[in-house]
Amino acid sequence: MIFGLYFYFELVALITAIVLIKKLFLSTYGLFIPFLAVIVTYELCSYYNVFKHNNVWAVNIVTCVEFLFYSLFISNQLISNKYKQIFNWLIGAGLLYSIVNVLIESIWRLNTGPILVQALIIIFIVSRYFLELMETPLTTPMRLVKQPGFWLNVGVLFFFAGDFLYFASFTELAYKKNHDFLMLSRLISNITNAVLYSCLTVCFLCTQWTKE
Amino acid sequence: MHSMDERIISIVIAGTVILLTLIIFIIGFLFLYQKRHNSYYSQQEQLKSQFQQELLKTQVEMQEQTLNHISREIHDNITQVLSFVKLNLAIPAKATPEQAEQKISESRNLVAQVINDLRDLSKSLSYEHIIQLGLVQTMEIEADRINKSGIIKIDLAVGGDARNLGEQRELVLFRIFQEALNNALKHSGAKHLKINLDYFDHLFNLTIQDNGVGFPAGKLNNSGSGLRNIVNRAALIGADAVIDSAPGKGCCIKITIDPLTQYTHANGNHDSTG
Repeated sequence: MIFGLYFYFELVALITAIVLIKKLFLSTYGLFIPFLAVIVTYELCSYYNVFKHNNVWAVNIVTCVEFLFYSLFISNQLISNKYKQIFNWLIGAGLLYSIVNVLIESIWRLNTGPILVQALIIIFIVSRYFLELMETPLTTPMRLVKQPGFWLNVGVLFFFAGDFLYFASFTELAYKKNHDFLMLSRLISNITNAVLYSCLTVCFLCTQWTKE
Repeated sequence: MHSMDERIISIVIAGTVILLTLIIFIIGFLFLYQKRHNSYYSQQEQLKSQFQQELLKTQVEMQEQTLNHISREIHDNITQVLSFVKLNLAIPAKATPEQAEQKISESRNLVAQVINDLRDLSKSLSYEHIIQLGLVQTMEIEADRINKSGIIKIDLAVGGDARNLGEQRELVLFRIFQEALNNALKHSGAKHLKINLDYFDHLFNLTIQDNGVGFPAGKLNNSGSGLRNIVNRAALIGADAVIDSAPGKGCCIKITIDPLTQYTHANGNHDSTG
């Protein structure tokens, strides 16, 4: 068994973040270093079977951590305080739903319902971010390619929107051990993770050009 | 059952592809928007620099006009009067004390006149004066000066509460007035110039009307830089310029501006009073 392709993208993102540690810690992007360290550790633990035969409880926790981290990070980048407040409430509600779902269902089963709700919340936040980008005052030029926030949001949008239908059909197919579905899940995971972590790598590189 | 699973997988694949395509489309749209935004931004920057250049040109032209006026005044008036004073003070030895006193008294009056002229000259119109005195007062001084010269008669009327329209706007408006005055003096042969400054709540009108020879309406497009400058400069401060003329009916230049509109390039200031 070899590591999933996406693991290498995660590793590249983490290494880039560590290389640019000084610059990253001048901004909130510094928070990505411990976050990526947790993600890479989780992948390594999965690979070395630390979670024994069922790592679903860890997936439930990691998806929650990912949701909290990305949603709060992007929400804090928004200019509109009104939307920040609305999204903070939505994030809280999403987290509460995840906890309640774990208590009602089981931590040993993948909580797809909360994962889908989390993805929807994040897609809303990213959409608002893009809308704010389009509201850039006409007195300042737009430099999307050089904006770390833009790359972060592109990656996050690809990741959560790409995984959405896969998670929606997870309960239906995963437990039947459908081979085609497993292949599909591997393909989608590889693509969405590769896009997310490539975008994160570019995002870290972009912090070199920006003053935050 | 197996075909049902296959159908779900197909839906997941198709749906995911559609979602990802949609995201690519959104990002593409953002880049397209960025391109338009930046093109508009660079156009604005270009206009801004063009405005600054035009403003600088206006200031230089005003300074040139002021220097010409000063030079003319020194040559035609002050030098002449002082030469006369010099001749007057060359009192011959044979002159009686009464004659000498009369000459000295005449010379004193002439020197007093020169002092007055020099004082007027020191109030010569430069763009700093517009900033200090405001548009109305500066135009009044200029009109007064021209009236004194007797070349043309200027009637200046101010309607409404005069207020500051912003340094750059007032500077450009004054330059338009000078240009119109220049045209009237050089080309129209006008003897009378009527100037109205009307301050309304949301509108300012500057009307300059002469009783000169006028010109056919079609000539405006082929005219020299004077009238074209008026139209271009008015546009720079967000004003509309209408030039109306017909042969034998003089010329009327009307500048209309909304002082509440903050024109992108002019530092409009409608809070302070003029």
